[in-house]
Amino acid sequence: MDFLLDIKTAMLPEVIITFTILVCSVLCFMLKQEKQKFIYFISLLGVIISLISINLLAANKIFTGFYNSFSSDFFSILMRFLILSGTLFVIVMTKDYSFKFKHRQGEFYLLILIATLGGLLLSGANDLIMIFIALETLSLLSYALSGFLKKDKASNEAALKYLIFGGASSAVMLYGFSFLYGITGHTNLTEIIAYLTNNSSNMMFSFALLLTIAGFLFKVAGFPFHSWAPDVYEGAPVPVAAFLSTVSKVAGFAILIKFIGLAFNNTEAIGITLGLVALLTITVGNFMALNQVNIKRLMAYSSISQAGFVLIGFALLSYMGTSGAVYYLISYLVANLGAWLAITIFDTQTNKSLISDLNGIAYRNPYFATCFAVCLLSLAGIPVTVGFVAKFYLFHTIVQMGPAYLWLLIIALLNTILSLFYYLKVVKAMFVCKGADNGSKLNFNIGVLSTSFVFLTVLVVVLGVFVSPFINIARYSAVVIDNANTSAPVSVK
Amino acid sequence: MEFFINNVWVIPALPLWGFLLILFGRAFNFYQNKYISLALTVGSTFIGFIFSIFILLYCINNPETNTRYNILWLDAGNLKFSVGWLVDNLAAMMLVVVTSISLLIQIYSHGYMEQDKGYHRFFAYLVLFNFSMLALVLSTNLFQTYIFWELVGVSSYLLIGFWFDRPSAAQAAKKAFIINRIGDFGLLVGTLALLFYSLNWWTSTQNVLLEFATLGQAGSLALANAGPVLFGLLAIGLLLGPIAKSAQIPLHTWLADAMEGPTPISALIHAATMVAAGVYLIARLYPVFELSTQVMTIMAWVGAITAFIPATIAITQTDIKKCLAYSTCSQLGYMVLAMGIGAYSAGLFHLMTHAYFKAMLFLCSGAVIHSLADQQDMRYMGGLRKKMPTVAYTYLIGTLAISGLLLSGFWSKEAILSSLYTQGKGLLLVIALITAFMTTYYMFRSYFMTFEGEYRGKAHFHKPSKVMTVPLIVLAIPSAIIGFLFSGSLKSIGIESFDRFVFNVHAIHGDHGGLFLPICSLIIALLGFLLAGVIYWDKLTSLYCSCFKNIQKQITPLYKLSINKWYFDDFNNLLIKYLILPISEFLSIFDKYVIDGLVNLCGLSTLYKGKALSLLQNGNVQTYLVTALLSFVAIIMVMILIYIV
Repeated sequence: MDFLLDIKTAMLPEVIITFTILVCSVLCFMLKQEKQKFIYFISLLGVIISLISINLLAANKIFTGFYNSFSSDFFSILMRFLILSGTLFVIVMTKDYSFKFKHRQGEFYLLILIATLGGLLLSGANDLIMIFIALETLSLLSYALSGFLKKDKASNEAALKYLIFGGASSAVMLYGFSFLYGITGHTNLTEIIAYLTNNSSNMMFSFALLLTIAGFLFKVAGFPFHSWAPDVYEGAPVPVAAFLSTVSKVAGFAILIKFIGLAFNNTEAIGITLGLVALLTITVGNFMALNQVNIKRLMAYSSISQAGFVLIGFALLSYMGTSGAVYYLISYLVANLGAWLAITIFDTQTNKSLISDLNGIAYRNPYFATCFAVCLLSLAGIPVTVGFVAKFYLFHTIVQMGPAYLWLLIIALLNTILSLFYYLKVVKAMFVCKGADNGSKLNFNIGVLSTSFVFLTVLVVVLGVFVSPFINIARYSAVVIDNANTSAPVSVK
Repeated sequence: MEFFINNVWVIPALPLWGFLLILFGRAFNFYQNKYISLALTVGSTFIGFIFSIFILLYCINNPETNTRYNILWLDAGNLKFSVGWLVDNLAAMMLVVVTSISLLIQIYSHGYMEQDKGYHRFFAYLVLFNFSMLALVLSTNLFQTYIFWELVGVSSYLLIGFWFDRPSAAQAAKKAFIINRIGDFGLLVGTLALLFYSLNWWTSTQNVLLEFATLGQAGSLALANAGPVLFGLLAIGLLLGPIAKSAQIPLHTWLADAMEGPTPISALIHAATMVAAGVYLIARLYPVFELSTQVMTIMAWVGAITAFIPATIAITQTDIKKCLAYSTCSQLGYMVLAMGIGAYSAGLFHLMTHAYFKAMLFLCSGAVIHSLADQQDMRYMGGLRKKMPTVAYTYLIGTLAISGLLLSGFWSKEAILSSLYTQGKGLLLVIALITAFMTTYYMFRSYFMTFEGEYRGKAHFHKPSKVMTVPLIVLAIPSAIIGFLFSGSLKSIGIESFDRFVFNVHAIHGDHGGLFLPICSLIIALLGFLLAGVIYWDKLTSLYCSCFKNIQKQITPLYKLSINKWYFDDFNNLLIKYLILPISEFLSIFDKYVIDGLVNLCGLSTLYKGKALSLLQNGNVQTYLVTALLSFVAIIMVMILIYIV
């Protein structure tokens, strides 16, 4: 009975999602093609109920499930909340887009939900085996989703590239796992931490940790495992690209944070190396984004460089840095979802995705253009948006860490300026450039898509003005992580 | 009653919602009905007014009211900025003044702007101003004040340039904005310096950062830390904000130009509320200014000079709104003067009475201008009393009030003069009395030129509508009696005198100097009235005209000085032309070739680097993998190197 009780207290959202998956898979076979739209509502409902159920979880205690291989604490609840809300918006995005999937509409939601389940499990995973299974669930479903437009060449190519890349990085990660197991003799993270507090770490451990992190870097599209992102984002269906750049990334960061926690007691070598990785991620993403003409590729590089900013927070290897990273992640999620919603609306209605196609859209759809611009400016870190606060807070944490990290700050600041160029390029196209005279007007009437888009935009501004609550949440979750990694280990049954 | 105090945030929140609704209303086909904008604006202000009345009543019953509520807004290490609301007697007074005048002026604006095609835009700006002004009044700390200080500046800019297709309006808006920026700069530097010198105190005592309630202690600490010289500079920086916002010399030139905006705006923003915000801020920052006697002296002299010079300018103005604008300037000078000599409550008392009668005077002038098809020159008016008696009589009430002839202006001006007398500031008292004389003179001059004699203009006259005259009549009541109401004569029925009400602590204002001073100032005011009558009132002119015409010729140089506004604008232009422009041109050349060159070089090189990097992204998954794994190995090498070194 203990076992079931654990599941109830720790994994309620996952259970609900699993049930939704079961219902959806049955419906997939039962419903005719015209009625498959029904699955859209079922999956939406499932995600919403799951989101509500998160509030029922006790946030101030740590619960574990599956014999300590899954732990639910404040941090993992926060991450699961972010993942589920991301999924919610991704599902909303498919509302008008799903006609492209023809008779396989229902299947799409099934895959999305399973991938989400993988992400949810990943954010609470506390055991190397569990991590691997959750990660592979997420990855395999992502490959399938990227290739979901069967007849589309680009989509197929994207899926294949993603698969090969994913396989390679998983191999590196598993190699790291094997070292970890070899050094500590445990697969459970709690016990690994216990081992670490009793034994001083060495280079071998750092090496293993780095190998493991490589696998997660692939998930979050960090340097050097970033090069799949542009091709996949461009080729995959737009909602899938949105899923990869938000939900899948949040899941990747969630587990990355847990692993970074392992290095808290470690030497600075990991910190410096990670700082290097973070800066390279930002810089490469930014440099490549400069010359892009396709908005999806631009967003891919943008999300690479944004991931770099989150990594900076990790590289500080401290509670402050983690809180900065978590806050940055929240701000990135909100603004990026908004931007992808804009791209989905535009892509669904016009079937175009070049920046020049956006020319002069502000004259035809002022509200659409304004909302899109606000989201982009938030990604660039312009004040009054949440992006500014996130960057400010992150840089503030770097400054607090002392002069040893000044190099991180300087290069990150320079990159912020650089990123402004390509975000403003899109804004300029929308507001300054004159479009073709017969440019089509988007249908931006009141509906689910436009409402959620406006909602996200308002959220971007509101979070940028009312700063404290979310910073406190980020701090609290960082404290939880910190405690889990430094306090005396809990003995395991 | 507690309910209103606890929910005071409603007062500024409603106008904000109104603003957003009007602004984004386009999607809901808002713009087909003018009354929706009007209802949103007037409704929000009306509810605010009801709240304010109850809050004022509460404060009258509980004079010790000091309710503060703070929300932590930005928490960055030591810097914990809060926003919130503060209700005390001063704020309650300001709330009533702002909401009551706003309400009447919004109703009046409906009549004034009905034919304008920017009707909705006008009300959007108006309600934005309302929000910022009310939030400024309720601010708990200097930091929050600064935010709304800027916001009132922006709404003022938008409203001055409301008819932006007129070049003069666009210029005036720009001028107002730039001159106000100078003041804002001072205020910002002063605020930061104050924060810098007292940061330890704020963090160690866990007080809300820069909160007005504890500003005095922090200020004395800053004085100890910074030394008297730096502290004086800091206080002057803080003072610069009010100097620009309240149009004190030398930053007063924008106010007359601001009359390019619609007249209701001149009444609301540039006479009654926003310009008074400067005085209000001085009142809030009083604990800081008090610490430095030098700064107080400077403040008093700035006020005195500002009272004097614009009064001399107003004497010769022929544009009715400009005349009133210089009069506003001069009256604000009185308030700052009162603040500077420590007559804290007298200055605020004058602020309140002035807000009412000056708003009314402006609205009267607006009614005249509207009726005469945008004719603003008093030389082409005259004899309008018979055509629009309501406007004429309310204008007369305002004139009597501002002249200090027994209506509300008498009591507040009297309070200032008697504090000057009791403190023995002889020279300042003389200046104030001369200014009082000139005030009576130019105000009656404008009254006679506009409403008496024969009609000299050609414009077709049409009667002002009820929407415009009713607010005038309503405003006439406080203009006439509010001074008497708070003069302390009604103590028996429970209304305390104003100085006791506003701040029992700071009531430096001592006993009156007997009957000598009031009689003296009345005589001076009557003299001004007589002089104006002799020159401009046809019934008296016939007697003395010839004798004064000779004198007029003898004072030509003075006349020229006045009509050219003491050459302030010319001086500013020369300063800009021969000092600032050459420097900026030199810098722009440096900027264009050296800095821009560097920037362009950086940009170009970055673009090329981007292109070079793209070569790696060739779409070949083999290349990707090889690059990725090689880079990863390199990263591992770096880590190992760090270990070894």
